[in-house]
Amino acid sequence: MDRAVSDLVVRDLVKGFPGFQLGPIGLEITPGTACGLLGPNGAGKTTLLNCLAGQLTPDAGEMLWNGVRISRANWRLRESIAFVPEQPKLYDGLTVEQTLRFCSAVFQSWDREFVSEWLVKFGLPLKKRVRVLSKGLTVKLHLLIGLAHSARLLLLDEPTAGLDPESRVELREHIRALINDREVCALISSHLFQDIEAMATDFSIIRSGNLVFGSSLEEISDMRIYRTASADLLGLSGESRHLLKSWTKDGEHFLLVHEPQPREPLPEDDWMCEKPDLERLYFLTREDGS
Amino acid sequence: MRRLLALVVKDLYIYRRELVWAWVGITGMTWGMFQMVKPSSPTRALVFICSLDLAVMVGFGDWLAYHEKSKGTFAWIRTLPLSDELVVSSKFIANSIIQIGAFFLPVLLTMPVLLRLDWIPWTLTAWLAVLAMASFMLFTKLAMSRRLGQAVPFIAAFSIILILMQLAKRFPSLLEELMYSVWTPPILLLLECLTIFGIWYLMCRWISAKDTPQLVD
Repeated sequence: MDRAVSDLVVRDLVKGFPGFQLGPIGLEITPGTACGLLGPNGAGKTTLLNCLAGQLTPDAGEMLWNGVRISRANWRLRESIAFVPEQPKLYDGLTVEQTLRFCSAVFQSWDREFVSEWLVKFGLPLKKRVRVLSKGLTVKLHLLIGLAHSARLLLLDEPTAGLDPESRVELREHIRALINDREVCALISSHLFQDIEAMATDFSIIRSGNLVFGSSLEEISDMRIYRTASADLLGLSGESRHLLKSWTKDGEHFLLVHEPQPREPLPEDDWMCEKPDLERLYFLTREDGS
Repeated sequence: MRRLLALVVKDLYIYRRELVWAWVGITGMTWGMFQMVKPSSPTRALVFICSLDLAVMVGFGDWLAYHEKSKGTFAWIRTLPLSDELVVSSKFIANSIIQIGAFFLPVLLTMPVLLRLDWIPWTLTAWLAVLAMASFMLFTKLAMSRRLGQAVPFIAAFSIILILMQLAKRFPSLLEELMYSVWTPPILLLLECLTIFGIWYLMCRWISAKDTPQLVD
């Protein structure tokens, strides 16, 4: 598949509800990349995923998958998109086997070998009704359905929410393996930093309907936060440093800097430096009031 | 076609027990009632069967449409590669199969056998009238709020039963003439077909215009 056209591209996406507006949001995900979506409750993570899954019609902007506009009318596009909502609602009167048989008739490309293999890996009981499955098994069944039709875009809304620690670790390992093996694009929302770190390659932080910060997880190790009395002291014009974000709190300047090379020494009294982790970055986006 | 078939079979399979109970129940009740009170004409017998059938329509409208809303399964169906027209069509077909069974089983098993009446509603008008009413019930269950979706079909069903009873009482010959004539007036057939298509079209438009959270409770 041509890498150039198999990206997910979101441009100026807007979806409004009474008292809340998502966007305008822009986003791009390339194959083999999983973007973790972090944000507080009500920030717009589920709304964004629902728009991408064709569950909500945006008020403005466009969403392109494989160069084709995502919309309800383009229902064939859903052959290549797998959406696992936070609370999967399958037909509880059907067994796992019947649910999979129904799906095999609905999807044009259905990989029976993959289903057989992953049924065992996931430990899904074929003869049990969906209503008696645990939350973890229901999510796994949903995931299996999404992947058995060779979806190239995974949209996972808090896939590990409500799972016990063992299931959570197991599920995120499976998801990570599938993303790597199949070179798919993934957008995963979660409240758990560990989940994002384990499953994603990139992350985006969404607050009050807007993406306020995003980067690759690898780049975090090259980031520094400087707290200075005067921002000018750092002399950020050098090529080895790149200012990502700046804000002021209680009269002090904070600078988030991408700095792959060690910086030149400065008078230590004038600045303090720390290496952030994902959690620190998440809370920084709250502290700066953006 | 494969997708349409899968959707119809899924609906019929999920509600297979209710379906068997409805068919057996309506036929049994008709049989029992006709044992006690033997209707003097097929018109009166048909009014009774139609009254029972309308109750089945209300029940299956609930199962096929309202349960999809209340259990949230519409949200999942909408993530699958299925057009809204296909989903609506599958509901219409499943509903039609259920109603045809609920209407014709008691007619076929009671009228000629028990009442020795030589009439069986072979005319297309009778079939289409049942399907039009069943489609309307489905639409109300899907498009209206729970309370309205419960009230409107009952009011509609009650009104139709009243009209049928009045027609059977006051104009028995007119109703029987219509029932006995194999060749229905084309305009009546056309009106019935247009009604069914109109309801299908409205339902497709209504669903397509809605975001998924608006379709689930």
